[in-house]
Amino acid sequence: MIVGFWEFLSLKLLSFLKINKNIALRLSQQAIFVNFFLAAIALLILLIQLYTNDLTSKYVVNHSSDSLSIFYRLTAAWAGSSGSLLFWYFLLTLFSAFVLYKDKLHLYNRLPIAIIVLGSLQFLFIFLMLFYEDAQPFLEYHIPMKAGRGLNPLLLHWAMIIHPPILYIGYVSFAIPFTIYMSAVISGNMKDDLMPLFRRWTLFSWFFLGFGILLGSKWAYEELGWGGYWAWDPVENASLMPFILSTAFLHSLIVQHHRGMLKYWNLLLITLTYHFCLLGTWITRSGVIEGPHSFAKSDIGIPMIIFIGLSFLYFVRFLYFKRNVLKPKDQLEAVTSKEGSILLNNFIMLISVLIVLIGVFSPLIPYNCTFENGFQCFKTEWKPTTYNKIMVPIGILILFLMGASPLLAWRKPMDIVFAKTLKKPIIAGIWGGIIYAFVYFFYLRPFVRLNNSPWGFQGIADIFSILTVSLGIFIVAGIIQEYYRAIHARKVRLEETTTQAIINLIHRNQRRYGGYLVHLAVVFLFIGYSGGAFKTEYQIQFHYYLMPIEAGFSYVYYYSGDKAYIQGYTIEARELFIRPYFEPNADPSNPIYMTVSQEAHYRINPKEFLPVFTVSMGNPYDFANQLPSLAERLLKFSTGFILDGRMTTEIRFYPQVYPYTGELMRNEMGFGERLVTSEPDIKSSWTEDLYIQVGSVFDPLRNRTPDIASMFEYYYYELNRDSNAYSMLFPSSLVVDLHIWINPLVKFIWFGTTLFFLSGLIVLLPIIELKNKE
Amino acid sequence: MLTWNELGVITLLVSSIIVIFSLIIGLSGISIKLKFQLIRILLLELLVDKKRFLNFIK
Repeated sequence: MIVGFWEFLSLKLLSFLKINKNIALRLSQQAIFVNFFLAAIALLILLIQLYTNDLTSKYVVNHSSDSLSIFYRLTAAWAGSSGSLLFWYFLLTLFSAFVLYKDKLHLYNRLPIAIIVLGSLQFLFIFLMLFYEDAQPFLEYHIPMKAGRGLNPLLLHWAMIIHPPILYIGYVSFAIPFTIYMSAVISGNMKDDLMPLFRRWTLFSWFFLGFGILLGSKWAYEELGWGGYWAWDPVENASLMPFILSTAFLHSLIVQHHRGMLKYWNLLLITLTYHFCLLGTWITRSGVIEGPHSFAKSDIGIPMIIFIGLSFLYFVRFLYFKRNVLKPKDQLEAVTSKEGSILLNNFIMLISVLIVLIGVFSPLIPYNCTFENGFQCFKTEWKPTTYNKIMVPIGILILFLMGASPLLAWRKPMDIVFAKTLKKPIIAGIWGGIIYAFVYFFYLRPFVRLNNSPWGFQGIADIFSILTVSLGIFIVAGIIQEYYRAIHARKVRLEETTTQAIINLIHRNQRRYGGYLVHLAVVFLFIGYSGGAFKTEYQIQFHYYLMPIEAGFSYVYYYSGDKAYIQGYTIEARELFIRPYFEPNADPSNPIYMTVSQEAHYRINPKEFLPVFTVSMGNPYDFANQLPSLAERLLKFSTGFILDGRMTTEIRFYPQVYPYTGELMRNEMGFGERLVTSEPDIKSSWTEDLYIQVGSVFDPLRNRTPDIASMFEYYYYELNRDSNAYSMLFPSSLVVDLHIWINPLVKFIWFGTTLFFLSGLIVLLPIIELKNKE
Repeated sequence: MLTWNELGVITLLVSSIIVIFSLIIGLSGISIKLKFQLIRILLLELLVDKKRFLNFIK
């Protein structure tokens, strides 16, 4: 009946338009192109509204402000839920149009199915944006508001500006490999001609998703002020799950390409990957599971999860219905062959995704049962230690297989190739592990005073840390061996120089040798993560005294001079300023634009190092904040060394604006309401990061925590920075916390991130493929 | 004169019509057989055709 109605509807429409089926197919492609332009126009309209600070728009009022620089105003387009959905829709239409334009011929008889799959996905987002208030970017205020609330201050960071779009590109573009694979399976045309297309699009999405996740880590590390880079937060997990799945898919595609196997498995993986991308969007936007950077509770949660559920059920059923199309050409001949190890790694990755999924939904599942006071079950949210307890051993297993797979041979069991490919890297890994164990126990370990082990016993964390480094060396040795062999072969056979051989090697087989570099990046990432085993944390309190200032200075000045000694560092607390901070376009005479900053300066040096101090002259704020010279900055960037140990950290109190009146939101006491953010400082070297964050202030004489931001606002605007009021209003002494984290090996993570980006580009860019075609 | 908000809503409305149009006429490119297959999967054939499903599991 449904088919009849469907046929009737499309035939009626075709006869009404006086076109045949071929033209209809072309027309439906044209519609996808037109839709891309419409989505682009819609996004452009939102950008214009943000640029002009259109205060009739609900979105602009809630996510922007006229004090923001143009750059931040425009990037506010993805700061809110509805804006980011519009951006998502735009990307979906862009990729849909692109694939239909460029790969139409490759798709061939799979094209109609591809159009239907892409159209259905587009329909979901446009449906949400039209019928659900929380997803509508063009809601209007009938009376223009007086001021915007501004951008969430946590987003005022360079990584946060590029991190969401990069992550979205990864998420959204997975629709394309999913569509291509589905269209091939449904149409029954599983010929190998689509293989390059699958691979290219999967690599593209995987690269952006992975790089987006790593950038998110960088943002969390530099902006959130908690000393870490990964907290197993639901939003982070939401992006990690499809990334792991797509990594598995990418590798099993290699098996499909070489052996004609794992088609069934690949269909499952790509279906899971795409639906986990959608699930990630749902986790971020539904508000069901809260995290530090998820959006507020929203009404799109239910329709979206229904769509995701139905869509998954629908597509996963093709595993059964299209089983004939998915039959393998070949059988697995040896478990310890290359294809066997990839399949095993795939299974482990899938298990790890299931574990993360359970962790994400742990706040909703009453799994923690007890028989005390009768049988009762409680919902208990997984803490980062719970994740680490399970995921670290799994990660190490994945790392081992990642190193072994490239060294194994197709079809043959391991023992045949052991002496030729595996022996030397394994010996290197074992020796590397032994040497590292010595360094670890005699040099690094003695500093560790706290037990950070999620397993409750530091010895296990030690073993895992040593294993990670040992496996890292095994993988690096394997990669060097593979490169050496190939380069040597080129030099002998083709009489090339070493440089020529390296360039030509990557040039001719960019996916394989670029892929090895990605493995190398992963090794660096894991070495960085292993440093977490001996991370230490301290909290110190320093005593500060209110200092006199000259008339006209617009800050409050405290000074300490106290010193503390931790782990080979001398920490001297110096100036503490309570000062105003304005965005570039802000009007300083209006309190709604004033962010209050609590800025603390320290001199942190190795114990034995005696820095030469210059004497403070003139304005203490200018003296404390004098810009380091170019040479000093270069020194800090390259070695992490700071000449006189200067480090500065802040807490910022961002104003909360009531858009209707255009004034500061105030509580019953009349104090302004503010959002608090952290601005840590990091001294980074290859061995460790010294990460500091100033904490809250305490007035020891009155025995209370003063509302320093409201006091400063009153002093700045109401008392006009009167020098008599200065000493009357502000406490004569303060006790201020300083949180210190010593994070070993973190720099390896950012080095690994850079390498991931560069090697990902080598694998991804089609320059070589095009040349080969020529 | 339309406001930016109204223009945005209209753009999204037109876009939704285009998506539906593309879906309906795009479907005309598929054979009747395949359409039946797609619908059968949609109508939970697993539940309807229990015998085939059980054979498959065996």
